[in-house]
Amino acid sequence: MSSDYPVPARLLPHSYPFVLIDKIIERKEGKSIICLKNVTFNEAFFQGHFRDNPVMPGVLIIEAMAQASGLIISAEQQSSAFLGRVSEARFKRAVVPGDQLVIKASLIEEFGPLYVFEASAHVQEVIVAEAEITLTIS
Amino acid sequence: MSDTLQRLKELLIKRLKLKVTLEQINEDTQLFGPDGLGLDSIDVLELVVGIKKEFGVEIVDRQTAEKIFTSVGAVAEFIEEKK
Repeated sequence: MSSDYPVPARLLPHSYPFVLIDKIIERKEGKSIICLKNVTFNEAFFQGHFRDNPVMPGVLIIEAMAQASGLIISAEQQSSAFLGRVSEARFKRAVVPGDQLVIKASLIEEFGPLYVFEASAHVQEVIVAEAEITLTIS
Repeated sequence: MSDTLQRLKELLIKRLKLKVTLEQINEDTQLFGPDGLGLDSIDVLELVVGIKKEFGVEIVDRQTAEKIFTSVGAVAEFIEEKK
């Protein structure tokens, strides 16, 4: 499956090893996005989280949601976007090696430098996590 | 006016999870600063959304918010005018 969108690693201000979005599937600037993150056994965090039971840390799923959210707004704003708040976060299922994480986010509120997004992560169309993410553009 | 003020006080405490009682807030209570409620920018957004939901009054931009978000009484007055 190829993508018509640019590689997220080139759009995001993040770089290795902190780019948590592999591909943009669909993007409506200023509105919504659907992204992909392939989770492999080689991820460094699986070494210790946990030793005999590899589970993707929930905070990294949140980070992936925040990066996806950031990709909705313009590239210019992204470079100075920081997490302002995370609320209503729920983790419903463990994300394990081999999972393909589909991250959906949409802008629900915009006020001054604050952008509020509703985000969710899915594996095989089952919701694994959701949160409301606020980014502050400084 | 007193009804709006009361509802606004309840909204502030509930929605922004402020650790004050209804009795500790009056018309002259400032929204910002250590002597007031000490709100931050996220609280302002939360308050804007809350006012829209509770009173149907929309505050569209930051400039308007900055103008009216001084004291609790000023916010109540604005809501009264607009609703």
